[in-house]
Amino acid sequence: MDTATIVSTIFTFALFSFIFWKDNPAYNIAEHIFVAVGAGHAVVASYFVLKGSGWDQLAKGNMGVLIPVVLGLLLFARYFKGISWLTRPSVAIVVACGAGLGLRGSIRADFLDQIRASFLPLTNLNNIIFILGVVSVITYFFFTQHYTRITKGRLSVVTDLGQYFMMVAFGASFGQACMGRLSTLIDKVSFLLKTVLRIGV
Amino acid sequence: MNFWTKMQGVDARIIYILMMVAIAIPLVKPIGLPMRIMPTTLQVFEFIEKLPSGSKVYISFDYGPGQGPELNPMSTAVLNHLFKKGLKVYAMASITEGPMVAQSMLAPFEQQGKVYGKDFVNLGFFAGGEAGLAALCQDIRKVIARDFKGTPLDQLEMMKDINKITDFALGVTVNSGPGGYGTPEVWVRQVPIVYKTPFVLALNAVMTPSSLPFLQAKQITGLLGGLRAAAEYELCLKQPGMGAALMDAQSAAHVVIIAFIILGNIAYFSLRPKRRSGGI
Repeated sequence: MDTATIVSTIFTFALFSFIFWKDNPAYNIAEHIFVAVGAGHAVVASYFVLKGSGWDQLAKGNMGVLIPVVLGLLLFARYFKGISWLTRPSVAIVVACGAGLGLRGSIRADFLDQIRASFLPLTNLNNIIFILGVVSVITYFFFTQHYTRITKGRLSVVTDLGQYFMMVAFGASFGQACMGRLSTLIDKVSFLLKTVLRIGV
Repeated sequence: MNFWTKMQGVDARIIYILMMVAIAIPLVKPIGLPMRIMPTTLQVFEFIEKLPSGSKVYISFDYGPGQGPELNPMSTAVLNHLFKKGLKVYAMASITEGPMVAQSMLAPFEQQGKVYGKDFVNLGFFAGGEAGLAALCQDIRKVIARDFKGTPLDQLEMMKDINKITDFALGVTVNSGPGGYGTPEVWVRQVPIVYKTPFVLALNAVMTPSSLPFLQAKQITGLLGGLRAAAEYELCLKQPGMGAALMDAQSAAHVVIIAFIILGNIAYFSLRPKRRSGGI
C-alpha cells in the first residue's frame, strides 16, 4: 500500500469516527489538518496570482497595473485604526463593479429570458403544469392586505396550489442533496473496499 | 416500549451502518440495474458528437477535492468524449483547488498518450470571481499570464489562435456551486448570455434543480447533474465506467432511505392517538 493510500485511510477513519464517538481527538485533528492544508494552498495560489498579474506586469513596465495594486493594498488599511477609512474607495469600486457586472447579465438571464420561456402554448400536459406552477407560485408571493381584501380570500386555492408546487420543488431539491451526499459516502466505502481491502476489484 | 416507539427514536448510528452495508453489497457484487438516459444528458452528448475534430473546448474545474466523488466521474466522462473526438481541451478554474483537480483528471489521458500543449493544456486558476471571468471573456491573457506549469501563454502552441471566449467552440463548467467564485449563475450571465456561445453546466446533484430554468429558457446548451448524469454519459459513450459502477450502490442507498421514510411515517401516525392523549 502506498503512502497516499495509508494517509487517506487514516483520515477516512478519523472522519468516520464522528459518527460513533461524536466530537473526538481523531476527528478534530483530521478536521484541523484539512482546514490548514486548504488555507495554505489558497495562500500559495493567491501569491502566484499576485505575482503574475501584479509584480511581473510591473517588472515588464506595465505601469497601468499600479492602480489596481494600490487599490488592493489600501484594503489592508482597515487593520490600522487611524487610516482605516482608506479602504472605502477600494470597497466602493469592488461593489460598484460587482453590481454592474452582475446586472449586465442577470436582467436577461433571470428575468427577460425566463419570462419569455414561460410563454408556452397550452397544448400538452407538461406545459399546462408548468404554467399552473408559475402562476400559482407568483400568486403565493402577494402579501399585501389590499390584495387580500379585494379577493376576500377567494384566491386562496391558487396560493395553496403554489405552496404545493414549492413543496414539490423543495422535495426534489432535498432528494438531489441526498444523492450528492450519498455519492461522497459511496466513494469512501468504495475506496475502503477496493483500494484498501481489495474486495470486489 | 413497542417496535414503533423504538423506530421513532432509532439511533443514527444504526442508520449509518445499514447505509454502509447497503452501499457495500453492490460494490462487491454489482447488480447491474437498468438505467434510462435522460434527454438533458443526451443533448450534451449529441452536441459534442457534432463538433468537428480539432474544435477547441474549455472546461472550468470549479470544484475542490471534497466534491470530487460526485463530479470526478462526470469530468472523466466528458473528457473521455472530447479526447475520443479529437477535440482540443483547455482546462481552467475559478477556484484555487480547481487546477489541481484538473491535473488529476487529465493525468490518465496523458498516460494514454495525449500530449500536454498539443491535445490539452491546463491554464490554471483565474482570480477575480465574476469580474475576473468577465475580463477573461474579453482577453484571456489579461487574466491568465502563465499556464499551471508556469509556461507563458504565448509559448504554448495551443494558445496561438486563442484570445477570447468566442474563440472556443464550446465551454463547460464542472461546478459545485456556492463556495466557488464562478458559480453556475455567474457563468451563465457572463458567458452564454453576453457572448451567445455554446455552454454546458455540469453540476453536482443539489445544484441541478435550481439551474434547470437556464436550460428550459435555452440559455445554455445542456445540463449534466450529479453522479447519475455521469453514469448516463458513460452509457452514451458505450463505455461504462466509474459513474455506472457507483449507480447500483446509489440505488441501494436510496432503497434504505425510502424504507426509513416509510417506517418513520408509519411510526409517527401509529403513535399519534397515544401522543394526543398524552401517553407519550
